[in-house]
Amino acid sequence: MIFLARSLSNRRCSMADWTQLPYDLITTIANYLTSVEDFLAFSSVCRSWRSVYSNKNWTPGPQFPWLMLSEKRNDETRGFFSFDQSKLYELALPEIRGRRCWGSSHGWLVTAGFDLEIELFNPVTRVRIALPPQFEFPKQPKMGMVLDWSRFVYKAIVIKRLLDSRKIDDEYVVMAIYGLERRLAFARPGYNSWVAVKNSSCASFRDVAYFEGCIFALCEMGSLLLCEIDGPDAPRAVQIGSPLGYDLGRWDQLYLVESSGDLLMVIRHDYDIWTEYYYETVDFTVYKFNFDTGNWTEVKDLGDRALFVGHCCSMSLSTSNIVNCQPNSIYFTVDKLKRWWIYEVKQTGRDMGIYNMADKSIKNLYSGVDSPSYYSCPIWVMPALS
Amino acid sequence: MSLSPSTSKMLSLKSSDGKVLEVEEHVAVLCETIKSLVEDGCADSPIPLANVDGATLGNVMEWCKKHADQKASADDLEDWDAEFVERDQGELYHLIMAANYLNIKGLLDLICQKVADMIKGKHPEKIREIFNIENDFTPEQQEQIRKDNSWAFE
Repeated sequence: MIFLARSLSNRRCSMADWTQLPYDLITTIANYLTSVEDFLAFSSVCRSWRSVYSNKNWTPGPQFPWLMLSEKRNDETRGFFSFDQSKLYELALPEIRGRRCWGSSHGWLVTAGFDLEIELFNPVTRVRIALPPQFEFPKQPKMGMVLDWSRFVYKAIVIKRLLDSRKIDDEYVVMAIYGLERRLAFARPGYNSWVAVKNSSCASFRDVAYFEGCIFALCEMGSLLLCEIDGPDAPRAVQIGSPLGYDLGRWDQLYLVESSGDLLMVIRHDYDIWTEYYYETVDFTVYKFNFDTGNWTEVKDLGDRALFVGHCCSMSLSTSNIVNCQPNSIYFTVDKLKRWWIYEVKQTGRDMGIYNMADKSIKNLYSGVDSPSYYSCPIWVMPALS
Repeated sequence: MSLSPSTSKMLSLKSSDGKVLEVEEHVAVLCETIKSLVEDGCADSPIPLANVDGATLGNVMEWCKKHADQKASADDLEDWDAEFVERDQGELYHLIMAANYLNIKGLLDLICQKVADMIKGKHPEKIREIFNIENDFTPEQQEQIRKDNSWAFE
């Protein structure tokens, strides 16, 4: 009897109780889960595992960005296609109904609405953070030059900066290219108004990227500017190096992206026939900036990288650990708001695809149902808890 | 004096259930916890390991022995590790707790990766079944979770 009791108690002692895992082990396991779907399942198992969700303690390795599909008529759900899981998720998101969205690599969408409010919104956690409204941009357009609310901001880019050397405090900065002249301004959560970034060259901005701790902006003609948003002379943007100028060729969009330690300019070329209400993206050219000479040099091969461009922060990802992601490619979504009506009239060529740098071919990106209209079109967003 | 494995000093480790294991020092010091005891000169008597049972300690030392072997190639170790973690959840639990207590980063990462692999692609209900975990959410909490992220579990 005594023997039996002891063996039972020993057995009880040695029973595995996974709810008793120390918090840092729960975090370590969670960070080995690279997809947000797996993370959400993990954090819904029991109360102690839920702690990583509540503390937003999840910083996984690289994953395939989601393709956020267009708004549906009379429906508050929004489709997000996950390429690595080959699944379409329907998220009920009344918060972004009727709003224009830009994607980012940190889980955030920047959204702008008819109410002129601008927000950060995370579709996974549904956290909303207010940014200054549209009428708080400096240098508002004069009467008769007013842009529709959905086109006032041309592009919004979310930058995540590591504030101090201990790398414990992140700070988000949102850079916005806005107005007919495509000026640059920035704001942080908590600001009352957008702050203009002065620049001497008066160039029209096209994209912004964070590279080696600095903010860079790309302007028409392929000129690169270094942006200072803190410091004695800030905020200002100073041109560095030479623009690419006429070597740009005939282009439709320009993007700026950090990739494998290089700063790349991606040039999107289209085929556009006004009279036939037709256009499509046909080619890309990529240049990298040489900081020693201040010149752009063409890049023919992206190695194992895939780039993601469209109405979003331009992103570059190493494809080696990502399922279903094609290396040496550019994943592009529609980016031509001023010709939106072609979509509605023709419903042809939803201008998105996978461009292969090696043979310059373009492959279909997504063949599911989607109805882009006006400002609502597919965009890239990295799912994260941020 | 050379410190080659063949002449390595032996250490006695005593598990929570009183089993004593003799282990070569160069193997045992893969555990940072034991290494600091050795460095502080506190490793003479059998070292009591109150949080590790005998069977688990045996498994941990088997892993340390393999990883202390200078002759093992990276590929070889990878294959060996993959086989090493093929265990039931109970053993994995004791290994993860022991690796944490003994502070063996390599083993800890290996088991955490294995646990994550067992979770991937599964619903919470299935994960609870695999790891024998009871659902301890209140109905209200459960409803909140479902509301927050229902799309992920459908």
